[in-house]
Amino acid sequence: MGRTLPSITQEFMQEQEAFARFRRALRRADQLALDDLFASARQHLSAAAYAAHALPMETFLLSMMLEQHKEVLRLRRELDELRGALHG
Amino acid sequence: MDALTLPLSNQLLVLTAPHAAVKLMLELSARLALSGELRVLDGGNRFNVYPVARIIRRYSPELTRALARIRLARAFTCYQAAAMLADMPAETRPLLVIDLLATFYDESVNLNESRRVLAGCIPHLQRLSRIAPVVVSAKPPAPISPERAVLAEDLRNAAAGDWQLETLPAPKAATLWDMGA
Amino acid sequence: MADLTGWLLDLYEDERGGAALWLIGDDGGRHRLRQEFPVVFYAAGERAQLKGLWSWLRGHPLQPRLSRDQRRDLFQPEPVAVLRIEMQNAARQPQLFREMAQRFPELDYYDADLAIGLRHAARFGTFPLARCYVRADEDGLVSDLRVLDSPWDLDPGKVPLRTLALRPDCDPAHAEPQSLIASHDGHEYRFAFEDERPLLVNLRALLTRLDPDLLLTYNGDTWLLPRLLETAQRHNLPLPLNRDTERGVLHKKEGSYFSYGQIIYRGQQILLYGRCHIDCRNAMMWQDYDLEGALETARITALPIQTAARVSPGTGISSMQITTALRNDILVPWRKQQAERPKTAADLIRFDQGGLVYQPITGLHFDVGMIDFISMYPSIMVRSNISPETPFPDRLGSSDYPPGLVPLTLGPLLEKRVALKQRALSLPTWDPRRRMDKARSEAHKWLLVTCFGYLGYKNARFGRIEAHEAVTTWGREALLRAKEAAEEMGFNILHMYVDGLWVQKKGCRQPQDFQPLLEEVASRTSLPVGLDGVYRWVAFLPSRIDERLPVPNRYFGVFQDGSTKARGIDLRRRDSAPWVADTQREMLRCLAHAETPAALPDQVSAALHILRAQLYALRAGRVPLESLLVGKKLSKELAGYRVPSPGARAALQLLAAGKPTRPGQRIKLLFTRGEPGVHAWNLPEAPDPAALDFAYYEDLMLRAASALLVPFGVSEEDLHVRMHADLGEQLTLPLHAWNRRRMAAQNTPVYALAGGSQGAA
Repeated sequence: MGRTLPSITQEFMQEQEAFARFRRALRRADQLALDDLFASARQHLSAAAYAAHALPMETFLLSMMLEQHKEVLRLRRELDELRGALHG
Repeated sequence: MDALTLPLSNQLLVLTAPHAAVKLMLELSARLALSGELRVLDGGNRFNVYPVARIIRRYSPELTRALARIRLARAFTCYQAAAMLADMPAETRPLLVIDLLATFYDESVNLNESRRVLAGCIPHLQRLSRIAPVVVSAKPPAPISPERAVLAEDLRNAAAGDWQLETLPAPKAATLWDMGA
Repeated sequence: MADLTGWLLDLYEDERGGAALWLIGDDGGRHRLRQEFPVVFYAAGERAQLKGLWSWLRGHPLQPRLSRDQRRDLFQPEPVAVLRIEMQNAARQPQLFREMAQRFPELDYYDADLAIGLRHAARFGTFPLARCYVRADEDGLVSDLRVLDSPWDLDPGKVPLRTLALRPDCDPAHAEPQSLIASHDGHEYRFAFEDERPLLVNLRALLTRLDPDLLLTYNGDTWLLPRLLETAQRHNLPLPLNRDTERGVLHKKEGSYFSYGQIIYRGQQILLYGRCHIDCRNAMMWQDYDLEGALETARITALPIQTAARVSPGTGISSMQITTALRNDILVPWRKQQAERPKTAADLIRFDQGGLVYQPITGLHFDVGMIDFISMYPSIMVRSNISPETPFPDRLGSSDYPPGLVPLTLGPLLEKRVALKQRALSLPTWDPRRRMDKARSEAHKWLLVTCFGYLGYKNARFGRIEAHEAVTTWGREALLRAKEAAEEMGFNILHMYVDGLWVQKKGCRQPQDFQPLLEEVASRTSLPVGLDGVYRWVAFLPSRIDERLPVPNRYFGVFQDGSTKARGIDLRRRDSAPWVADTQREMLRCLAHAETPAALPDQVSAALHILRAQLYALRAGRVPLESLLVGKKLSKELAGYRVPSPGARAALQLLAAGKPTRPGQRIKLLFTRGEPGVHAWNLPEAPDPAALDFAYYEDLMLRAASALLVPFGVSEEDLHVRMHADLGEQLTLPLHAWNRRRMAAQNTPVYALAGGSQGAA
């Protein structure tokens, strides 16, 4: 019924699959970190769909960076709190 | 088939292949979009824009503009396919028809009726191919309905050039496409 | 001359010409009437072809009346020149049209294949169970007919329908039935099948004496009525199933067909004239809304009661559109050939999308409000005026153009739905109207849910892909505006799914606290929006495969009033084994008892207790086999399976026992140890309870239970360990954690170590 293009989730899995060889050659610990990156990008699939980008991979990469930055902000906050507790 | 050279000449070419040569047709769309406008009639709900975009991007940073040069319409029944071809004005933009027979193989339309409708499409394909290149891809019918193979034959008989691909040639960018000197 | 008032029960073509009507009179009589009813249809196309058709029709024995006309085709900007063909005898029109279409296949035909009930509805406003006034002569020929009510009335008067129920004493697929049970008005009769003559004589007497309007059966289409008719023929004792003695019953063959990518099986049908036969087993939506819902569908769609009970909601919507088109002098095309207008490749990416589906924030959340748009897609279709002939809307919630066919069709239905929903909030629980309203609302819901999909359906007469895409585009816009409103008002958004959002804000616990947000969303979108409820707590579940991955639309929770809601888990799936679904439901109810977060740990323990008891019962052989049945649907013909799925293996067993199954049919089976691993339910040999694959069922149960318990900190692995520890297998604990999968693959029950029998059979 109408749907011609693969869903954003299917497209995401294709892009992830395209990096399978890269992943295989990584060390185990690095593989797990890579998996984390891809999993983090999945948080924003709805926005990627709405964006209707012709090259969705760019949106996925941006999503990964977005999550990474959130993590940085969180760590910074935690660090500040710990510092405060140490000096308080 | 060893090579399809660009620019295409004004004639009706029919490609028969296991999956209607979709990958090839998508690549062809991408190549053509790099340098000019084209029309696409999607007869099998197969026009996945993503691989087309990826191919275009390999050759040019002007992705948005290239994509805007592809004008496509989808046919979900054989009657729609026929109406679209009948209403299409003849012009110089190339026409790609992807998986034309998909809707003609539909079990809910009986074979004689499908043949009749296809017979109505063919003169339009020929009309359009007089001043523009027309490439039509088709797949063979499913194993459970071998009697429908006659539709693919009807189509091939109308073509100026017709290729049947058992297996798709491995895409070798340099040899498969000659971008012209 | 007689003036009659009553309710319209049935309407079909009269063989002599015109329409046959059956009226349930206020006088208690069942009146068979005839009304002159010429039918009109049209042909259009190339001039020479039309001329050929004209000459051919002139010479045709059926003598249709011909003329030229100009009429409106929804897909053409200008009226179309048509050949108008009028026939006095409606019953002969299908045959004439068939011949015509074969001889002149190049022409376009309109209004050519429409059910007489729809034509009549368009002209007179009739519908099944409509209250009518009729003037007729002694021969029953109608000279005047007026409809006194409307399908949109919230409280149609109660129709004094006489119902006779017939059913075999057991499921014929499972075992050979011994007797026929007939019931009406609280009386029940049993007739043994083997005493054929007395059965026929008694059934005849019952039918004649009671003269029912409605024949309600179980397996009437597929087994009971064919069997009774065949028996009647053998004994030369005809059964007066029809009220209309001039006609035989209508047999429709069984078949499987494709719809929306799924294969659907339709059993054979036995349809009556002057009386309505509904087979509860073969009724399309019976699971969801029983007789009252089926009657409501008939009222709203104007399809005859027997048809309305059996067809999909898609056919219902199509019928409604056809009637609206006829009423508004719009041609109804026989075959849809309107194609998509070309769009750019970039546009395709933008428009080829569905609703926005967000990943939820997984875990347990408290005091969560669920806001959703009421019938979002239909509301958008009506308010933004989305229809094949209207332009792509430039805004949400209103339109400058006169309403198109689709909004005209859906408008009254949507209004009635909203009206009933609002009434449901204010009616006291003892009010008898509640049950009726609920059943009718279900019918409305299904029709509304289908109308959007129908807009994009390739064979829909008034479908158009651009219209379908316009709906999803504005649906996404509406949800984003709702999100923006919520965020600006300080709400935290936990999840969003197409037409609803789950929001949370400190201090917001009561429905009133969410009211300002509702108003803001309604104002920004011009669409009706409501509060589904405030959850005491709700848990959004992650993926079973990877805990990092949230899964949309998979959650369960408790509202403030104590009622529970769940999506995407076993108790919601039709094919789950009842034992698993019921236990999950019980565990959820148990968790729901926690009124505060502090009370949860106790409820979790109580739920674990329930689980433990059920696992024990399974091993002890105390779980009835029926509740371990898992449903599987065959997706294709058996030959198409390279490696037979469990469903296919069960189908092979049934085939060997002389019971072939068709694609789309549902098979019930038990999972057993060893080969072939399944036992189909309706086999002549009863399954051996000791052969059940206990490990498999345990796995199913633990999987279902962990879906409920993961948000409370109990992982699936934990659960396995706990359950087995309780059954005394301390030694296997570490072994179990590492080897669970290996053991399952070898099909060895973990308790082989426990030895001895697994409980009495």
